[in-house]
Amino acid sequence: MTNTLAKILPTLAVALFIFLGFKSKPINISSYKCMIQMIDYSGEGAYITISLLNPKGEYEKTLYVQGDDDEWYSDITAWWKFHGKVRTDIDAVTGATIGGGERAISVIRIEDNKIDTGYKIRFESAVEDQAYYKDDVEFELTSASVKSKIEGHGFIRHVRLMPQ
Amino acid sequence: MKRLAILPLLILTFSLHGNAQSKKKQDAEAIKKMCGCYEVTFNFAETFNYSKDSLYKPSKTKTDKGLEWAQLVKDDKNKVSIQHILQVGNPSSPHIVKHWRQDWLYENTRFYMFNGDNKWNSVSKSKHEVKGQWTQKVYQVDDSPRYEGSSTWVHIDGKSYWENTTDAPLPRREYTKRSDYNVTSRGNRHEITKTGWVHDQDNAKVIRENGKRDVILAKEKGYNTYVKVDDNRCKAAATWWAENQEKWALVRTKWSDVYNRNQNLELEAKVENKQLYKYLFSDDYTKADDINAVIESFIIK
Repeated sequence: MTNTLAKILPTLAVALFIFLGFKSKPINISSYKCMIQMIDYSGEGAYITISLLNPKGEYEKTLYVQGDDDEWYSDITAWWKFHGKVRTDIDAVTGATIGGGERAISVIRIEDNKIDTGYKIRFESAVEDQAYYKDDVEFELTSASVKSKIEGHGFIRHVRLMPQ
Repeated sequence: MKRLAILPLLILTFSLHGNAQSKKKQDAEAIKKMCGCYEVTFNFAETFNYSKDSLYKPSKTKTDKGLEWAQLVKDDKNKVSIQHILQVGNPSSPHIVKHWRQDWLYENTRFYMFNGDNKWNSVSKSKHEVKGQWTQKVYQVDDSPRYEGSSTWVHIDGKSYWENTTDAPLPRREYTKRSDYNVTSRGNRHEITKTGWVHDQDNAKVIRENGKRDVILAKEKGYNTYVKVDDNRCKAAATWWAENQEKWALVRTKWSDVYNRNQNLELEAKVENKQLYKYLFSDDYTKADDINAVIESFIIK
């Protein structure tokens, strides 16, 4: 009996490990449609960065950038202090600038464990020689806010998030 | 008898003074050889990095070329001023861009030393420290400060060169690409060559934080060549300067007043979301009052 147990113990351990390993689910990531509606203004297209902030208010990730000429990224001052340091590849989450009165729709991906846990989403906007808004739109990510419309304070009239 | 003994001393004194004067003249001639029309190549490569971050990304190697007119603005006994002007685009209708300026001052004792994040410290040196030396003061396109340092021009083995290491703001090619360091420690070498001159650089990318020791993040090689070509090719730039020099004399005068305060200087990067050069490059700014007011608005009190 003891011998049999000794023989099957390693097999049991492996089976338990596999079972538990599969049981700890990978973090799920959800996609959201993000619609940005701009106010009417004249001048160059706006650069907009969409960032994920942790509960301490620190930048954690760049979710999307409207504006594909990196020559002007340093004008988005607060975000640049973060992104200029980490310099992650954001090609896959980069679109064109948005002009006055225009709207743009992008798809952003957020990990589910960032919802209802104190994380925030920040939209910064800048137009050359006009203005820069560090928190044009900023709100906490909750189950309700990820399917809502939020008003902007700068070049953004409003932002609407829609789970896909 | 005593008179006879003084005579050799007097001869020696005059001879040393004469040598110093001829050396100073030779220095000034070397400096002025940087004037004229040049085909320029700009070459920068990050060489070594000391980052502990496994995801660290070095800057991309950069090469570029252009045509530049170096205009002699002032040629005084103790000062030579050279304004660099870029001439870009189609040679038949080129675009002119006011570029950097370098002033050379003999035995200068007053400095504005860059200390990171748009701050310059007012620093004095003794006459003894700068004896026989020339200070190179380099200015931005809007004539605000950039970097400066004092060293001796060397004329040896058929070569003329000047070497100095000093702290400087990040160049545009770097500050638009990264924000992980805030001081460029520039190793500058200006050498006059048979074909023009070479701006050789051995730079360090430095992280400077208050109360902490500087951290060298990486090193960079810079090698910019200036090959002299016929002045006619830079005619558009020379004409532009002739038409605009009065305005820029007003700008320099205002900055001189600021520098003569001999106080630490801190500048805003933007006022009403606009950089200083954008105001000054505009035709809206031609009068002294407007120029003075806009420059003053960038100085943090």
